[in-house]
Amino acid sequence: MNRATDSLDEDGVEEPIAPAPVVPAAVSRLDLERAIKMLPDGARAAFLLHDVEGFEHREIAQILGVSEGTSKSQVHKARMKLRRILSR
Amino acid sequence: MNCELYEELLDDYVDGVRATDRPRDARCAAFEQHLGGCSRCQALVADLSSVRLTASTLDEHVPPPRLWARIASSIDDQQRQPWWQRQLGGTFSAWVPAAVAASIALLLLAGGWNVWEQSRGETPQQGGVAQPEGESVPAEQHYEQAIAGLQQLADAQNAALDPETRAVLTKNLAVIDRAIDESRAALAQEPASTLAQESLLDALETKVALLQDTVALATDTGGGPDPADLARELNQ
Repeated sequence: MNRATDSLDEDGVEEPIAPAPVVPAAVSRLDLERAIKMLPDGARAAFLLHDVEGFEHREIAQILGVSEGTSKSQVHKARMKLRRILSR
Repeated sequence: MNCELYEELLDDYVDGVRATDRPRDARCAAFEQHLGGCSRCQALVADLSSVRLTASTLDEHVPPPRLWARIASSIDDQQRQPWWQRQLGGTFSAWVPAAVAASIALLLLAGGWNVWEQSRGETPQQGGVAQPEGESVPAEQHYEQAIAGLQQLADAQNAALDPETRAVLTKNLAVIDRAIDESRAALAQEPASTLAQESLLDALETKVALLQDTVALATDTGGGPDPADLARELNQ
């Protein structure tokens, strides 16, 4: 049912995880706002609801009409993609 | 390393969940043990924590209803109901606490701008939006004209809506009007500010979208004109 969501955020590029932090300890709000704009809609919505608004995955699932697992995976994908963008 | 086994737990850890919070879940303790000796996961936790910390400080904005429609349809493409029916299950007020009253942060800023750029036939720029000073004026006029026309339609059809829905719409319009005023004030102080320009255009687009949805909602409840006529009017 949620395949559309999963495919929405898959860009086919899974970069290896760096052995050291690549994101500045203090990310600027402006940089983050710009990076958020580059996220796919689904991942962006889940990220904003969870990390900005503070909703629980259970609540996000209800709001967006997806499963709790999909909410979690979308937030994870968003965070990973933001990490990649902010490390540039 | 079995880092991939701990993906979900890693996000929980970033969210502040510890093994002591879940004494019955052995995976949490296993992950924390793994984390102690894995520099990759330590780096990931540090990076994602930085992102999360900054995200929690971002300002809140009012969500554009049509963005919700796009998000919902992209998340589950098989659901083809109008957005308000999907969100409400039949009652408008049920949607309000979840979406509007919650004032979803940055959906407006993050989504509305890209849509506006695409409507101009341009490709969104990577790493931000470098908008030349003053370029927002034609777009602002475009939105103002659309708002004026839609406002007339919405006023004419308001009677078709139930009082509770009308009250919610009025309240949301007031929030958007306040956002427009604040954006204009910010732009007046810093005319070259890209963020202020974005904020103003996003707020205007939100108002257009809300008015469009108001008209559509009234039409759907039987009080409005034929949708084809409405579409022609909106495109003028």
